[in-house]
Amino acid sequence: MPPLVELRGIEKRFGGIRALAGVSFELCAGEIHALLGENGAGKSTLMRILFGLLRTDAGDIRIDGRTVTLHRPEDARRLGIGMVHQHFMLVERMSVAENVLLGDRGAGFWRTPASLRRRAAEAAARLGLDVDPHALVEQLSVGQRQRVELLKALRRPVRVLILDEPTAVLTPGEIEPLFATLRRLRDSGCAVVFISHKLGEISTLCDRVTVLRRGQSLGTFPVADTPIERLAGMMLGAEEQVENRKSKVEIGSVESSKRRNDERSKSQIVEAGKTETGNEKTTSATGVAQHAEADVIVDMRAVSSESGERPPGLERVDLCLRAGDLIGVAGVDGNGQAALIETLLGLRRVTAGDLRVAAAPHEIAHVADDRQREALVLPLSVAENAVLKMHARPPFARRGVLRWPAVRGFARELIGQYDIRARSERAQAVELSGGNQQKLVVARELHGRPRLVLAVNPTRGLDLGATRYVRARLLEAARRGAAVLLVSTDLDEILELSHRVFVLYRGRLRQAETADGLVQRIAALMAGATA
Amino acid sequence: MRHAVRALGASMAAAAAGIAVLLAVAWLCGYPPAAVLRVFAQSVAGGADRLSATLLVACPLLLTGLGVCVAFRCGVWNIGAEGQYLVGALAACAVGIHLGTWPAWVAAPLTLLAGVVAGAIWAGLAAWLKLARRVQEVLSTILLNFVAIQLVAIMVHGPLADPLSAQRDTTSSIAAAARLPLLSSRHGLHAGVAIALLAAVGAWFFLRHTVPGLRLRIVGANPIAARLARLPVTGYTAGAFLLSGALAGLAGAVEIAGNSYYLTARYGAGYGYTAIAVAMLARLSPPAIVPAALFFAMLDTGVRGLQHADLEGAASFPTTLTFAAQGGVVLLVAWLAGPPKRTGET
Ligand SMILES: Nc1ncnc2c1ncn2[C@@H]1O[C@H](COP(=O)(O)OP(=O)(O)OP(=O)(O)O)[C@@H](O)[C@H]1O
Ligand SMILES: [Mg+2]
Repeated sequence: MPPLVELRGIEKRFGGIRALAGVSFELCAGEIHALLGENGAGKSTLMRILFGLLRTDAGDIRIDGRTVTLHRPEDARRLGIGMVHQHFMLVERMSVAENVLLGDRGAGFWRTPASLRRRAAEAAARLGLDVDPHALVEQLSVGQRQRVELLKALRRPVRVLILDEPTAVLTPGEIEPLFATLRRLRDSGCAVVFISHKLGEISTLCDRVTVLRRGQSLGTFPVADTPIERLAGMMLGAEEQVENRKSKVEIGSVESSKRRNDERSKSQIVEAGKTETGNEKTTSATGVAQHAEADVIVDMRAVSSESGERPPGLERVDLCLRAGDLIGVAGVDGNGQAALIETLLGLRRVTAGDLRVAAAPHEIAHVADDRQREALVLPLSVAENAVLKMHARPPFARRGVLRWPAVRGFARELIGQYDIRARSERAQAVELSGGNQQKLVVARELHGRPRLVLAVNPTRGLDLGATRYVRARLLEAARRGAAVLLVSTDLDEILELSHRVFVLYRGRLRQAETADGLVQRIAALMAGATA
Repeated sequence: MRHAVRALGASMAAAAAGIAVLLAVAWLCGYPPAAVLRVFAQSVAGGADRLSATLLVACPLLLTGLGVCVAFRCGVWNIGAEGQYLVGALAACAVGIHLGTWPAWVAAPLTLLAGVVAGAIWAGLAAWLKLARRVQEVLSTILLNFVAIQLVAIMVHGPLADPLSAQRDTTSSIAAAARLPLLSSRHGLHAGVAIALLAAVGAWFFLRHTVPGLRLRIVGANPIAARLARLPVTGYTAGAFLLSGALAGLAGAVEIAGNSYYLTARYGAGYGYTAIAVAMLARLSPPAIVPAALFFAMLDTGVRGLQHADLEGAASFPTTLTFAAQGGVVLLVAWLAGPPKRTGET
């Protein structure tokens, strides 16, 4: 039996850059096939070619053994190919139900809103995805939007389903039903392509894995016979692995020190500073002097905030963040994460309680929830995005006139530091791969010495190496005396980094005691158990 | 600059295709293409007076085109350049008439300033409607165009009417001191052309090299990210309206002070609408607006020339055909020079 889909020698260039250099890929009916590779490896590009969004420069696409030409997504859809994109394609001003049923051929002209909503709600319940069909998409968080996209793709019958990082912003409680659905699809003979940077997910869900690296395929392997370490090795490359072991040691030492965090003394911070260069040692020593007088950076007492454009609002939230704290906030997206961040940024009105933030706006780093919507200006260049918030300050501008050499130099510095794969700093942000866009946001925000770091899913869409690097940067920021609030749907990330863990549920914040059975406790709280 | 070069290439190709279409239409209607092309070229640039006629049309197109460009770059869909142009001309005329006793170095700048302020106020009305009353500017600016047309008519027939004109449908001429100096008195080429070129350089420098220019582009491309970066989105939106109106108002004032010297009841020549095509052809890049404005000016003078020409025995080019050809060229150019197709998830 020929494979359902065969891609042969696919090449794709963007300007001078070779995004795909002769990639072959085959997909069989009844398998879940993982696509793995570092940020910018070409995963999304390859799948967008299969979905008819991009044209190949060379190579051919065969479906059921027959060569096809895909000019537009409509052609792919007619062949039974569905896709959930890495960056969402939703109509902001429409409701969830309208988005889900948009483009249904058989929907008929006279669809009443009520029947639309009922059908959307039925589909959501069947697939175990919690979304309100009445809600307007513009009010939804990233996690909720992801659910809508999945709903859109899953409710149509398809033979090939492509999922580009569907789990990047889902919590374990949402991932389980999704996996069950995908397995059911596979068993009914559907072929699924699953892109993820999380090796654990690949080993539990997938049958085969194809590894891409810099636009080339390193081969396809059966997941059952391939140890995770080997996949990780292929992802990182041998030389980088050594580096990562180094950074792991670094993380480990910080972890042991953070356990004693609550009794954290000034001397410990100085100690941590000592491992750095001499220059940093002195600055962190002065940092300590600052902690003494202005230790508390965020003080929230019984704060409630309005529900605003993205409900719910906060309800009687108590939270105290000190310099050097790294606090994790777990929870299913859409439970007040937006309210918490916006309230701290001063963008949401506080209706009751007492809020004090001891950081000037330019001292707050904000890794936003949705990079394309909130953090980047896609048509502008990487350099312009790199100085989005500080272009008016020296050395980037003098008397209102931009100094491009300084701006470009700074962008190149970030590109080097975070290994952002970009044609050059003059490339438009929109040209970067999803993970590289994320790196650009994190690099910009963590640069300098923020006093308060608000990081929402900071490693969303990052590959293994970049994830580790960004986590180390967050720990370093806390060590240098910033207060770090890590809001994440990734429980492992929160447990790995945080000194204390809180859970958000319907606008309420509860502390999860650091004790045995923490994970179960957090899971219960996320599902709404009362304290 | 790179963007400008790319925009330039695209607009050149589009312009060439536009001329080709004009010739094809002429050929289909039985006119010899070679003769049409010759007449067209002659009326555009056949001699210094034809060339300066083309430049005189390009001047207001360039200024209004820059105004549209600045607004669109900020996500402000100001399609009211025509109204702002008219109000600018009106104000310049009203002020210029009364400056007879002033020295020229005060009177001329003051006349232009009157146009700038009036244009900004006219666009400011739309800004206020948008920001305070949530009225879409696409609607308000076009409606304000109609108001401006009537306002000009009322003023020309009433307070500004020339007592010596029998029909009372023109104003008196502005004072000699208020007029722009001529670069070439034989061809009527005035200093406004230099002002327009300077404005193009200024707009390019502003958008590309200044902090407010970058901020305007940020607000235009992603207002949500701009708000989170603590940029005053409302302020920049209002600013883009005012700046764009000011440029269109300046265009009107330059036309009065440099070219016509008085207003008529039906003054508009549609420059404010053509300006939108100019800005789109240039892909909203100020340096590319210069050739784009020239192209549309050529089209205007060239087609006008065809109307009066003797085309090797055939009857002269009918007006309807020239307008149809002109419209076709604009559509073609918009199609060819439109933004590149978006691909996929981005
Ligand atoms: N529209 C575009 N213009 C220019 N370059 C592009 C464009 N789209 C993708 N690229 C380049 O192609 C390469 C592959 O990008 P792609 O999005 O396929 O990566 P990816 O494997 O999906 O990465 P990620 O894990 O970060 O999502 C990158 O170097 C990217 O910069
Ligand atoms: Mg991708």
